Amino acid sequence: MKTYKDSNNNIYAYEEDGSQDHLIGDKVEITQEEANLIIEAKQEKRYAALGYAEKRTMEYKPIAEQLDMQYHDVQDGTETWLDHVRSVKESHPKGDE
Amino acid sequence: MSSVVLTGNTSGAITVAAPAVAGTNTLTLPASTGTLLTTAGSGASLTSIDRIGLGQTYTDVTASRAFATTYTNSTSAPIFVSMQPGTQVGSSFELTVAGNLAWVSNATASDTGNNPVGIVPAGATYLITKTAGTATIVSWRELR
Repeated sequence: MKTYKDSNNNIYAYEEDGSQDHLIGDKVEITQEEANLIIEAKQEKRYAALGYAEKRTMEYKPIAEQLDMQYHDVQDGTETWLDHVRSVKESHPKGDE
Repeated sequence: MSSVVLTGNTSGAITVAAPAVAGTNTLTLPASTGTLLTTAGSGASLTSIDRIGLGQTYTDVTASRAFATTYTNSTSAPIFVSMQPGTQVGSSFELTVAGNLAWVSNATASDTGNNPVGIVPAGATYLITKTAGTATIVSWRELR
């Protein structure tokens, strides 16, 4: 695929064989590396706009893994699960938008 | 079985026949002039009309796809898009088709049901955006 960007930094990809060249218009061809940088910057901006609850949800481990933590905590007298949840909550305090 | 025979101007005839089953059925013709169905010449056989699934196969296009990149369905038929992320936990995605949100998920602690799928009409653009998380594209397949 050939990669392009428009004036708003939206990324487009078209077939290498030229069959979609009529769709290119005034977009500018860029490398995939440049496209990746643009995409990453957009994702970082989007992440920054998330609320604390969404950020916490992203960082909690899968439910199955948390259940396993809880099982071993009960068996071994550890607090692995509690530490995990506490760490996530402290990383993204309530009200931290 | 009853039928109506339309005799041709020169030779031959077309027979419109009711099925030999119980019940009353109605065949409504369109309120315009056109060719409904032919096997040759003008018009198109119903079996050759472009539609999803007909003559299409699932194609692995993972190597040529990326997040937040707009692609165009340049085929003459709708295609079906399915993306499998590396990890679904803590990630969320959006599938946008022709500028409209077609599928959306929220970041989740579950490891299932978080993979974008959708139909893209012929000629429409589509992109999958990762709106949260660190997931990569493990598999991107299209029925095309």
